[in-house]
Amino acid sequence: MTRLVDIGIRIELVSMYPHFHDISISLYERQGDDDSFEFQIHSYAGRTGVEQCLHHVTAAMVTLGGMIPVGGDSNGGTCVRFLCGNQHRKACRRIFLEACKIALGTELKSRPMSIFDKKTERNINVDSLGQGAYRINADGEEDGRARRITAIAGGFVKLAEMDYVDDSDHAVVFGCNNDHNSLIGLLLKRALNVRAAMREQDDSAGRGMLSAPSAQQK
Amino acid sequence: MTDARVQPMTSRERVLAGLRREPVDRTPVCNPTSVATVELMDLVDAYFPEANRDSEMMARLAATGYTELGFDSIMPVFSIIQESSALGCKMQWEQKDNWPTVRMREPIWRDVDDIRIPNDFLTHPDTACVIEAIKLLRKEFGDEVAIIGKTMGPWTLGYHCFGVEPFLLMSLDDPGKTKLALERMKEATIQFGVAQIEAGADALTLPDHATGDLVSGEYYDRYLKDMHAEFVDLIPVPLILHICGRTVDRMNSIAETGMAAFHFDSKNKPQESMDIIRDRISLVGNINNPETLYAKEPDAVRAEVCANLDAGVHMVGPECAIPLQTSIENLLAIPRAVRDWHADHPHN
Repeated sequence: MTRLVDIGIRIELVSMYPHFHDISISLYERQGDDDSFEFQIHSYAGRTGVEQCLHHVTAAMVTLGGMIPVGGDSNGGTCVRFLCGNQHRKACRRIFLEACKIALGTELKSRPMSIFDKKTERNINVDSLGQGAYRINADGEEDGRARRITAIAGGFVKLAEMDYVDDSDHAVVFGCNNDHNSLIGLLLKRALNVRAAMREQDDSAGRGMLSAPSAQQK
Repeated sequence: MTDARVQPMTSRERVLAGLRREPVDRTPVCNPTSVATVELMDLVDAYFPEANRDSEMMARLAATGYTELGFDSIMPVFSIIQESSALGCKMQWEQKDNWPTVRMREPIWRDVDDIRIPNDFLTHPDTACVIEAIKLLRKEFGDEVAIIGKTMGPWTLGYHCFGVEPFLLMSLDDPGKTKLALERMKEATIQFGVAQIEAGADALTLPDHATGDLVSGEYYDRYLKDMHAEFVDLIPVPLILHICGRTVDRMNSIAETGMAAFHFDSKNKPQESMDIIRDRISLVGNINNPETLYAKEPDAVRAEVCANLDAGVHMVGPECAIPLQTSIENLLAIPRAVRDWHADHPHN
C-alpha cells in the first residue's frame, strides 16, 4: 500500500531545508470547495520534529506573505491561501522559498513597504493606491531615480506576475485587484535585485539533473 | 505487443515479455535507470550520497519505484559511477540533492597500458553494495517484480578513467589503441554484469555514452557495434542498451546487435524510432526528463506516454535517470496513463 499522498500539484520544492536535517519540503496547490486556491506545505520525512518545521514554514507564510490558514487541523495546520482566494502562483512560490529560509525559533515579523537601496543609496517606499495597486517611490537625486523605480517595478512584475498600472512603469497592480501589503513588503527586498532572485531559483532548479559524462564539467 | 487474451501478468513477467517482444497484458512501465527523488529519499530514510554506497539504503530507495510509484521494475543502481569508483577514479559524492560524479579532469589512466581491472573490483564497497542490494531485493520481492541491474559499457568507462577529451582525442588519433583500450575495459563491464546476474538481476541496463552530441553513428559502427553484440553472448540476461541524445543515425546498427532493448531518449520521436528498429529490438523509455517530468504537470506526462503507446513502443518509462527534484505526481502519471490508455484501447 502506497504511503504517497494526493494533495494537489507540487509547485515548489526546497530539496534540502537548511534548518532541520536537510529534509525536503514541498508546496502543493489545489482548488478548494469554493474554487479558491489552497496551498499545502508537506514533507515525506518521518523523523520527529518535521511537523514543527512545517508549522513554522506555514506561520512564516502567513506572517510574511499575508496569507491565511485554511482548514485548521483537518489539513494538519499546514495549509494556507490568499485572502482574495486567487492563485498568485508565482508569488506563493516566492513566499514559500522565503519562509523556508527563516530558521526555526526566529520571531516572525511582516516586512515594511520601505527599504534602503544600497545600490543607489536611496530610500525606496511603496504606497498602496487601493484595489491591489501600488506606486514605487524613491528619494534622492533626480539623476537615475526614474530608471531605478522602473527597474524595481519590473521586479514586482516578474516576481509576482503583477501588471503595470495603465501606462505607468512606476506603479504595479495585482490582477485580482485586492491589496496584498505584506506580500509587497516581502517582495520589495527581492525586487531591488530581481536578477539575483531569479538566478538563485535557476541554480536550485539545475541541481539534481544527471548529465551524460560528455556534458559534465568535472 | 499487447493482447487482450493474455492472462494477467506479474510485473516481472510483463517486463521480461516486453524485453522479448512477446504478448503482454498491458504495456510494462519500466525504468532501466533511476527513479529516485529527494522526496522518496525522505519517505524511506535513504538519502544520497549514502544510498549509492550502502546496500540496504540502496535497496530501500530503489524499491519505492515499485511499491510507491507502481512501476513494473526496480533499478537499484541510481548513478553511473559505481564501477569507476571501484576502478580507482576520484569521486565527488555530492549531497542529498545532487548526483555523485567522477572527477574526469583528474584521470587515472593516460595510456592503454595503464588499464588495470583491480583484483578487488567486485569486492570494492561501491560495486559490492550493488550486488548486495540486488540480493536483498530478490529476497524481498521474489518473482513479483523485474529487478534490473546496471553495468557500464567501456566507452563510458573510457570517459571516466581517461577523461572525456583525452579519450575522444585518442579515438581520433589512434583507432587501434582505442579499440585495444575498449577491449581491456570491457572486462569490467562483463565481470560486474555477471556478478549482478548471479545476485538475482533479471536484466541489465548497459549504458555506453556514445551520445549523439559527440559521437557519430559511424563511430558507433566502428568502435562499439561488434563489442555490444559480443556482450549479448557473454552476459546471459536481456541487455538494455542506454545511449542518451538523438541516436536515430545508429538505431539500425543497435537493432542488429542482438540487445534485448534500447533505452531511448526523447530527442528521438517514438514513431520514427519504431520505423527504424522494425521489431528487431524492444524500445523502452522516451518520457522527457528536463522539460516534461521535471518542469511540467501530469497532463503533459500523460500526453507523452500516449504518444509512445500510439506508436507501439514496447515499454514506457523516463528517458534517463530522472532529476532528483521530479514531482511524485508526475511519476505516478506514467503508470496511470498506461492503464488509462489500455482501458481506452482494449484491443491493443
